[in-house]
Amino acid sequence: MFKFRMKILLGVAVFVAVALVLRLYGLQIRGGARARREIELQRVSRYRPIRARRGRILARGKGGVGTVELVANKASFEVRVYYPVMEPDRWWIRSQIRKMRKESKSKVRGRPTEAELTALDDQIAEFWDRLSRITDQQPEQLGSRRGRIVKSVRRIVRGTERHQRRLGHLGADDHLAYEILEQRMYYPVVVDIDDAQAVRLRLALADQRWVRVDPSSSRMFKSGKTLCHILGRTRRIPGTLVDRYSYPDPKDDDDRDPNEDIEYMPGQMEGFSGLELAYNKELTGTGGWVRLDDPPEIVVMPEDGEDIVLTIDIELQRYCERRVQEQVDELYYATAGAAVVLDLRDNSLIALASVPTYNLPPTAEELDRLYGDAKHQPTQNRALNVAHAPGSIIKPIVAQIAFDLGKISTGHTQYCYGRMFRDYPDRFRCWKPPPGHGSIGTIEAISQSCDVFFYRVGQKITANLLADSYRRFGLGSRPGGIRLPCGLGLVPDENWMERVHGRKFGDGDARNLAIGQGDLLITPVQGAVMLSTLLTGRFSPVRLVEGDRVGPGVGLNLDPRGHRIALAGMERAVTDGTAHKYAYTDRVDLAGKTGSAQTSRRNIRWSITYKDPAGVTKSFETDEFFRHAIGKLRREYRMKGRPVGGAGEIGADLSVVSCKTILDGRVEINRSVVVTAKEPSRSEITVLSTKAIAKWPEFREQDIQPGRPNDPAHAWFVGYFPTDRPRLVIVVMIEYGMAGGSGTGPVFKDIALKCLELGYGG
Amino acid sequence: MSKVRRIYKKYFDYTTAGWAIVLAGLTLSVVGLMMLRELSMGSGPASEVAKNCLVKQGRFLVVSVVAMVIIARMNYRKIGRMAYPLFVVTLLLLVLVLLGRYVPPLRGIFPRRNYSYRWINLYVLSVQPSEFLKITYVLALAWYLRYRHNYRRFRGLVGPFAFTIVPMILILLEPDLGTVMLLLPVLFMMLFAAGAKIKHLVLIVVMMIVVSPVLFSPGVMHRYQRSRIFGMLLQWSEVRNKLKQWPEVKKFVYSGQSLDNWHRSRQGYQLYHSKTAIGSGGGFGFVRSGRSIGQTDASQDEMSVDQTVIPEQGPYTDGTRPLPEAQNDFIYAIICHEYGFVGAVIPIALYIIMITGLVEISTVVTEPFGRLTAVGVMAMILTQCTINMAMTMGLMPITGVTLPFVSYGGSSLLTYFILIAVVIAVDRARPINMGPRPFEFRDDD
Repeated sequence: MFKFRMKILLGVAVFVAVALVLRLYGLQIRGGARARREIELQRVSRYRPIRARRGRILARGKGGVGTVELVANKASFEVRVYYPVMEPDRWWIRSQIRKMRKESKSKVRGRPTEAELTALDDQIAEFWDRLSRITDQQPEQLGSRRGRIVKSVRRIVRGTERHQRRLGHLGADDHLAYEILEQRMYYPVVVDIDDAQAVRLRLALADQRWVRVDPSSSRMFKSGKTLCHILGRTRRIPGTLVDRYSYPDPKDDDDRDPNEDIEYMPGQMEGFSGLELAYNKELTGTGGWVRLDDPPEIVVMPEDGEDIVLTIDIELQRYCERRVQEQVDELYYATAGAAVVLDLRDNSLIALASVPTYNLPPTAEELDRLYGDAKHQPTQNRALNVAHAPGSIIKPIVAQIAFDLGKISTGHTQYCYGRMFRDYPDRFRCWKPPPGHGSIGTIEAISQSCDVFFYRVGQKITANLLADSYRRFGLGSRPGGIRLPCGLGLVPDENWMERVHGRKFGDGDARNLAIGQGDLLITPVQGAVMLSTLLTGRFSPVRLVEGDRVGPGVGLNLDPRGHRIALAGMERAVTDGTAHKYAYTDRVDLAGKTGSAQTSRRNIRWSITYKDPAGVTKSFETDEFFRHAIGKLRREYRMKGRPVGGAGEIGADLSVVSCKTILDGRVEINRSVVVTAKEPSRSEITVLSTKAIAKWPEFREQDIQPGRPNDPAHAWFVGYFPTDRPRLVIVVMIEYGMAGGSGTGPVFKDIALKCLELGYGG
Repeated sequence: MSKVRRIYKKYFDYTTAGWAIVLAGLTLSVVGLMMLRELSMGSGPASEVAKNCLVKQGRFLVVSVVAMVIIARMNYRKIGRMAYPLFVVTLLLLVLVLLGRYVPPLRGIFPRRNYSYRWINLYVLSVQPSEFLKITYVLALAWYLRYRHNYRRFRGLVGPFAFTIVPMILILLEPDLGTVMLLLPVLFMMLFAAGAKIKHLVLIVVMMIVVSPVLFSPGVMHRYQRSRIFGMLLQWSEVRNKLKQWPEVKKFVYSGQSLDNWHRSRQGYQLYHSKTAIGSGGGFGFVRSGRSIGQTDASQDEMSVDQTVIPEQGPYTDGTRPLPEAQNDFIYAIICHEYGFVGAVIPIALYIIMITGLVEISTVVTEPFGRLTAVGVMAMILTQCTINMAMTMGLMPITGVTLPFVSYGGSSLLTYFILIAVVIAVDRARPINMGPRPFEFRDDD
């Protein structure tokens, strides 16, 4: 039996052998031609990334009807240069030498000779020379551009190596033994070329190797200055950040998770700030790949990015920006302002204005100016990010809170002498000088904005409870559904007090919090959320982008009597209270509350003393932001350490790296290459002292009131309409507007009327 | 010892099958070295790796031949007596290797490579215990089965299976799917040769097939492992096109995103290139079969290295085309690529010669341990060759199995030379024909 079974096993072996030979026959003899064709295709085929179209950013049209483009893509051309010409690697050099030998029918074999390498160096140098002549670019400009590209690609190589190490494909000290796609791509050195120029360059560069003129697209801002603070900018993904993206490696297909990551495509743009950054994933889409066979075949279809539609009504937004700017211009001390309009039907922001505005995209000089303007600080988004003390606009909320906590009830009155303590005339004054408001009820206290009334109420509530209650109205936290960076404002708590002031909450804090002063800070959007919470009895997150899912919010269970009284107070404020003079109109019933939040003055000029790298003490005065000035100074000094030949740190160095040095192994490819000129520039400057030497505002003589504290104040107005069924919440804030009524009342009224005109009244 | 026996020992018989086996093994090793040299002549960066491998492999070949000579001269029964202790030692080594996995500080000695822990780093060289398991497993199983009959009953099969399951689990933890896949066929073939009832073996196979869906379920098997096993099916574009209509099945079977991109995905990449390498070899090798192609102007080229050179080697050997593990698991594809169909048949023929020789020895030798050892070695070589070759051609899922004698790998080479050395030791003790040998005439006749 054994022999028989062994025969069977031998039979199995022979069977396997025959099967394998048959398969070989099928693959090699019958399928040989096909496989060779496949190889030929591989050899000539080039995969080229197809970038996905970046989604547009839209806003609602006039009256919320239709959409208007804010940011779109613009077709243009750019001159791109083959990467190995910028930084040759040994494989490319060898292939070029082979090509040269073939062209000259040279019989030389083996390693490249010195003469050949010199010839190649000359070719590259001549190429750059010609390119700079044809494109009218200074060699230094090209060098700097080239330096930046090389630096970025090296970072990508290092990032790839890190990635491979994490996956375990590469040892800790090993480096990539192959070139990556980025090292075989064409990179733009001259961008934003129009059609006519492109044709000219194409003709001029037609016989030139290593360069081509390709169509590209750039981001186009169609909205002018509107919404400049939140739209944001894009940039080509820098090498340092490639790690953040998932990297398409054909061998690591499994590691991709389409739901999690944005896939990195060579040369792809990413959002850098604002909405472009916050909605980067939606806007980016996924890139595709085309194989340049004959005919070309798309192997992976690109998927374009989604458009995002803001809930902003473009017409209203433009109006708000214009109107607030007018008001800022009109008021002598005002530096900036903001207006927020919130639609209560779906809790969406339909206007989010912040002035001063600036043009998009800002040029480098413009940016320098913007960052340097310490007085107006135009880059700050006043509506969303900058928090100020709210002042009296908090009072309706305090009344509501007092009712909720049972501290006051209907018919509650206080007596106002114009100050809280008779013995201390300087402390806890009412805005109305003695004899003050006299006996005053809650509604009156809101409409007349009586401080003494709310000092007492606040004291009853206590600071801790008051702060907690503010948080329920959305203060001190993000306003829900906005993905942009939002200012949190500040609602102090016990820990904060302990940390910052080194003491616990006291009665004084309660009084200050109750009139929106002290340590309390809110942003205009938070103001809008606060009022919408009061009106609807529910804290609901706001939306800025259509289709964004936001949470359902939290019901607050407000005391109905308090609610009635707080609203009545605000109505009364417009009909015959503090806001009447500036905000009343007979065309629509408005309700609102003014606020004048006392604040400190702002430093706008500094004297800076520093020690330069040589150890010499110097000083200078500047109007710019302190940090901006220091940054500029450092850049200035770093420039001095650079070699002649362009601003590019490495671009300049590369001129000394010839192909010969690379092949000699004196320069390691893919590692830290030639850092010679950078070292001397590393020296630091030491800032010895900074002193503020000017502040804003400086009061004019006519504005100084004798016997009163002359503190600057931010002007606020929160309001809503229609009064019977509130639909819109409007918040206006003017920095250093000095008085709530005169500073912001007219703007509030005009915006309300504009909303009415646009059909938001019903 | 009889006089005849002494004479036999003195003048070794060149007509015995052992010589055929040794010659075939040496030839295959030389073919392997040739391929490494071929790979190292390329211009691409992979050639540097291959150059290194060539020197190492040469050294290992010398060591292996010396080891073979020494072991072949030993008394194989003495080896057999050591079979159990050696098996236990190998198992202990396998456990040790796993320490690298569970005790991270020990990864200096038990390093992780390609996601698995198979090596012991002895600083001069690193060894794979799972390779040596192949020797000790065959010896131990043969030693276990030699005087038994109980495996002819179903319950008697528990012992041999226990022998197999323990190392299988240890190796699965490494993980080294390739070696695991070797053990069961070897066990089956040895049991089959030893006379186990066929219906029992069939029953076990059926049971395994019934249990296998559990293994495929998401909790047990990782998605990429599962997709590897199914990856073979995707080589046919018909299957891929069909799968596009069934996204659920696609998700189960394919780990990438777009099926159009199959040949670039982890599943398809190796198989695609391996098949292309084999196919493009044609009848007589890539260079001889298709010299005219590959000369294109690539001045606009973005992706690949310069193309204008007349090939002196195939693109898969000169380093311009990527075939990962070319010197190792896919060396057969390189042989096919470089020498075509004609060259590809030669290793198959050599393996058949070797297997025939082993079968001959196992039938001639009557001593049960020797006989089973020869069967085991035969089964080991047959299984591993089949898996490796079939995998490069897309007939089996891709697992990391080397081609015996040919692939780069010191442990593997040493293992196989030791295996055939043991069989030669068995063969040296074959019974002697007392009568005159056929066709052996004296000159004066």
